[in-house]
Amino acid sequence: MRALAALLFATACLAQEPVRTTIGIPALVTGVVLEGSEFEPIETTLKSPIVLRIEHMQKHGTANRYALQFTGMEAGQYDLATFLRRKDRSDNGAMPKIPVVIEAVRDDSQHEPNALQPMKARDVGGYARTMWLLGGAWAIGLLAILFAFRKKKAAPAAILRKATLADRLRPAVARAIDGSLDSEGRAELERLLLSVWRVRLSLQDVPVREAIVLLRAHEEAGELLRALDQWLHAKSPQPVDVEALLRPYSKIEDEGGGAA
Amino acid sequence: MSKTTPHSQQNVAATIRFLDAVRQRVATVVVGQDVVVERLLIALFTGGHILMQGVPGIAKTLLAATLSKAIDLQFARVQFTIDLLPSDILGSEVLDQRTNTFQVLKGPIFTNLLLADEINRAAPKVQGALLEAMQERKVTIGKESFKLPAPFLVIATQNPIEQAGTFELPEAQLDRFMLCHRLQYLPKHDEKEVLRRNLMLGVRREAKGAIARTEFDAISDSPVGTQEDLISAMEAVHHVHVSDAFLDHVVEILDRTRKHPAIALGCSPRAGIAMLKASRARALIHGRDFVVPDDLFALAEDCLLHRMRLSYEALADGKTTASVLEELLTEVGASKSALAKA
Repeated sequence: MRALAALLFATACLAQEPVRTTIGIPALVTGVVLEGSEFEPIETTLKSPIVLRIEHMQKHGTANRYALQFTGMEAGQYDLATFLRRKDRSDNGAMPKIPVVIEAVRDDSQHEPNALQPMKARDVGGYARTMWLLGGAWAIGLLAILFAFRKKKAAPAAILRKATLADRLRPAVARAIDGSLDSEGRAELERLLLSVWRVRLSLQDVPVREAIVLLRAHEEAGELLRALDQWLHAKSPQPVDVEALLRPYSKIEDEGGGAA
Repeated sequence: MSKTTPHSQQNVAATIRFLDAVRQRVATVVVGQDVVVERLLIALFTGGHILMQGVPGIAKTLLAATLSKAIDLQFARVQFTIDLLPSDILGSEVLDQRTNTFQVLKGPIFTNLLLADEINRAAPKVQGALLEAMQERKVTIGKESFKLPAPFLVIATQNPIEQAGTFELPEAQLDRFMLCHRLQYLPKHDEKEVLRRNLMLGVRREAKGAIARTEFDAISDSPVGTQEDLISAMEAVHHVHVSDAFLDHVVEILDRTRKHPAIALGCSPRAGIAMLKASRARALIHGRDFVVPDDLFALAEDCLLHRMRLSYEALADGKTTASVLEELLTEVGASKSALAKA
């Protein structure tokens, strides 16, 4: 009963498509379960259409499981079972078919190998060119990054170049005169006026703490600073005519201080 | 000069008289150094501490001793060395063998005016102990806490030249000093006057011997002001008016220290507070009851420089914190916000 089941299983497995190969190219048929004692390939002669060898064998219940490697010598359909015999020379008995197909690449009339087809040789070398290409790509990338970076910086730099001290002072003075300047703006106006006088008296290179002392000592600048003290800083300020104080700066032109 | 309210006017006038007397007393012993005297008074009036950087021999100790005697303050001096221990400054508990109990022996820190000479020569744990006491104004010895006397002012000195075997104060600890003043050599005419005065010192007889008199012997023991005068001056500082415009100037400068590309560590809000306090005291010393930008620019270096740290790139470019601060102050007139509005 078990032998019959193994035979049915083997038959079911081998009922699949036959294994195909071409002449001279080895192929493998696995999972061949054969009941009974151990099998071996029959002797091969010069006229054998198939050369068979047992790649692997293992016990499978009362049967044996084989992996058969075969190499076809002549085109055609064959049953590998016919190329097997029992080692103990007993009768093979009922064996399943192990179909294989050997195909020919050449026609039967062709006795010489196929002629080689001319093909383009692979490009040998080219390392220098590859390096040049990679280097070029890297340089382009670097320039792109630098260019993009400069482009972003260019906008404020342009404003810095264009906005002179006078340009910044005029609107602040105008707002101070019409009373719309807030505390922060007044502080900024004071700093701008200090800068204007530092430029006027060529004190840009003098430390600020010393420059402000010199400005206080100057007749016109000192008067302005004292009035600013009263307007902006004094605890009990004296009245200051802001309009009269700042009017000389309302139409101030660039005096060479630039965007200092 | 502005108009002042009667109360503050009285305070300012009294303080100016007191200051003039102190200055005159200091001038009898110390030649020149008007700015240093002003900075010491600012520190004294505001309860801040001052770090003085300068080479040895430019009258740092003499100045502190003269000032303390002029205002009738207790004065102590500690020479910081590598083997100094925190207990050498703060004090310690000692066993009284008669009563078999521990008695507290207070250290030299229990004084009004403490001169911490060459603070960077002591180990960090000693520096830390002093700086902690400076901030908290109290000292714990054993299990008991003691308040330090009021007023309490630490005048620390650092020699900027000899750096071998010293422990540089980190920025966080430097920040505890309200002011850091860099002392310069005297102008030639002042130095000549120092030499001339030294020639006239003579010799002091003692017992059967004699000792060559030093400048310290020239310090008068009679004070020209009392601690009450000092307290009045401290109160007067708090009546000095600070305008919104001035606050904006301070904020602008602090902000610039934080955004300047050459500065890795800008100034903390404590720097701004120090600047305000110092400006108020300077205004009072100059006879004003309100601050002006002059105070800010005059004190910027002492208040900000030790709180700034340059970036490695700036250091590699050979820049100094002083040059960067000067550049920053110079640019204050051309603020970026002004550019945007223009």
